[in-house]
Amino acid sequence: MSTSYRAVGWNRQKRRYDGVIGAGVGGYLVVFVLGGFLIDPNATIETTMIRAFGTCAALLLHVVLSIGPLCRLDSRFLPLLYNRRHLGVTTFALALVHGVFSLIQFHALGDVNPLVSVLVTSSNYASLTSFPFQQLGLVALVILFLMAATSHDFWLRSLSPPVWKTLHMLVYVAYALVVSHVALGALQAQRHVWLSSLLFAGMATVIGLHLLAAVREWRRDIERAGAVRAGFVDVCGAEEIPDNRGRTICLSGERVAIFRYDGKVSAVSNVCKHQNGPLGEGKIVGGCIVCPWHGYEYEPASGRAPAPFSERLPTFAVKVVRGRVLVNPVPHPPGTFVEPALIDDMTSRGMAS
Amino acid sequence: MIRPLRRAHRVIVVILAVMLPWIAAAALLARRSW
Repeated sequence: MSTSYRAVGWNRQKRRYDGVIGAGVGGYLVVFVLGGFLIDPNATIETTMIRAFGTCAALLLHVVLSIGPLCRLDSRFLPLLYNRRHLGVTTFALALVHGVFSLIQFHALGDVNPLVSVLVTSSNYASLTSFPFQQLGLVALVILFLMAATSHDFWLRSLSPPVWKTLHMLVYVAYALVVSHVALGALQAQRHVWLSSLLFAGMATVIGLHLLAAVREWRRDIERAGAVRAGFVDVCGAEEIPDNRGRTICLSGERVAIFRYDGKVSAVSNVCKHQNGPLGEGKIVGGCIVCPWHGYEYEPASGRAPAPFSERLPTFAVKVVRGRVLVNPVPHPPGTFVEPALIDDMTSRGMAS
Repeated sequence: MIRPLRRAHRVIVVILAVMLPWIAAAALLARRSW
């Protein structure tokens, strides 16, 4: 952690990003409501609002879910990942309005509590055409609420990153529930082919991007795993790592960040102790590795955060032989000093030419 | 991502990739009015 570290607060980029989200959502709702009345003049304002907020929330959920794999496929999408939380909270807010309008429209006029009414009105679970799809939406909304409510560093800290991340991986359950909610609900009531086409196009996009990113990472991991032997593993040429930058490789299933600086090479775990940020995508500033996410700092040779901070990363033994970087895949305990490997003269000359 | 979570993430994505299109297609074929 650096002495100048400050929690990520509001900044110009985040404000601009939120402005774009707000304008996009507002524009979508206006166009949908006006267009909805032109296409279906008999629809009530409540029905149109339910459709507008529901489709907008579903659309944003697709965008949120596509950001992760897009970043793994191309690092130019990383600014979207940096701002993904606000998009997630917006998705919940839109879904909540959709849910509240639906409760009022379909469940508020009886003598049963509307929330109870959602759960008991239909129990035709064996039917696809009259399945109680609203219950699926309600469960998805509860998951989105849990995620939105814990979308803050305070909760990340108090729940611990593994628990927090596990909770937030429920977004995939929410996505499955939302797709089922649409397929068993709106899709059953609408004759238009556009709704089913959009549903399948959305699914193809989200699932396709995830599979594409997974296959690419899996191939990369397999390539490296194949080279793992008892001792050191040849990971790359020293000249392939830009000066004061890192390179990420996968060794025995764990990612290792290798840094080149001052004619030396060091290897540490790729996972930042703060929020599991990708250290290999960071750079060396003032002799320390700086995490690209929130600026936590570590000394490359020992994996220790400079005093007075106490974070420690596992380190890896590293050698440079004839310009090739070799890393031992067995990690040293966090904070263990490992003598950096010197880049030999031949390699330096090769890099200079 | 943390190693067990990365594995869980892959399993979840594969389950969704198989299950979701199947549910949506079944719902589409089952609907009364085309």
